[in-house]
Amino acid sequence: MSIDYGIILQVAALGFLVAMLYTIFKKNDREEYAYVVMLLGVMVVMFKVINVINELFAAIRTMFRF
Amino acid sequence: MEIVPIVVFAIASTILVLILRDSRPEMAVLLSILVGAALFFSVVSKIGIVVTTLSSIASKSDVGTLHLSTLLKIVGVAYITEFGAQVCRDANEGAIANKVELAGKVIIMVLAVPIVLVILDTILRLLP
Repeated sequence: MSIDYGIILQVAALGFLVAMLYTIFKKNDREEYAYVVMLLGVMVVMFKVINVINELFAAIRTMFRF
Repeated sequence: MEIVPIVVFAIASTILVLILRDSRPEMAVLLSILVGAALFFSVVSKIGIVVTTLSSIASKSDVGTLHLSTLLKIVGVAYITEFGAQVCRDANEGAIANKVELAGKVIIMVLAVPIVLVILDTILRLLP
């Protein structure tokens, strides 16, 4: 019942990467690519976060005898 | 001294979330959810010890273990509700946070109904 703490650095790095790519694409007048990159980043990160939240709520369930 | 790594981790993650918040606020919200889950996982075993001790004391005494499990469920619902509501509030969605809290309150009231009925029953039986 533990998570891999590396995932936090992975999500932070992905967040910085998406922010950079978003700004770069916006500066080059390619707003559509910027939005696509942002949506992809949000989807990938949300996939990881949903796994962790699943584990979290399973741990809460066993802890508080749901 | 186990609180020190936890606090240091929390402060470092807060700074990371702050960096993300003004450029990519949705990433900041997701990162804060992850950090909250990680902080919970770091103390979850100790909560387990306390819960087990409470259960053993309750089973030794005359108090019904049924009520203890309901109480623990209420505490669990309260924790999850507060977690979700605070995440929404950090993302500037106060309305959604209030609705989450309302749902939590309603669920806790529904969970507490059997205990309230037992209390009323006992009181009514005590009266002549």
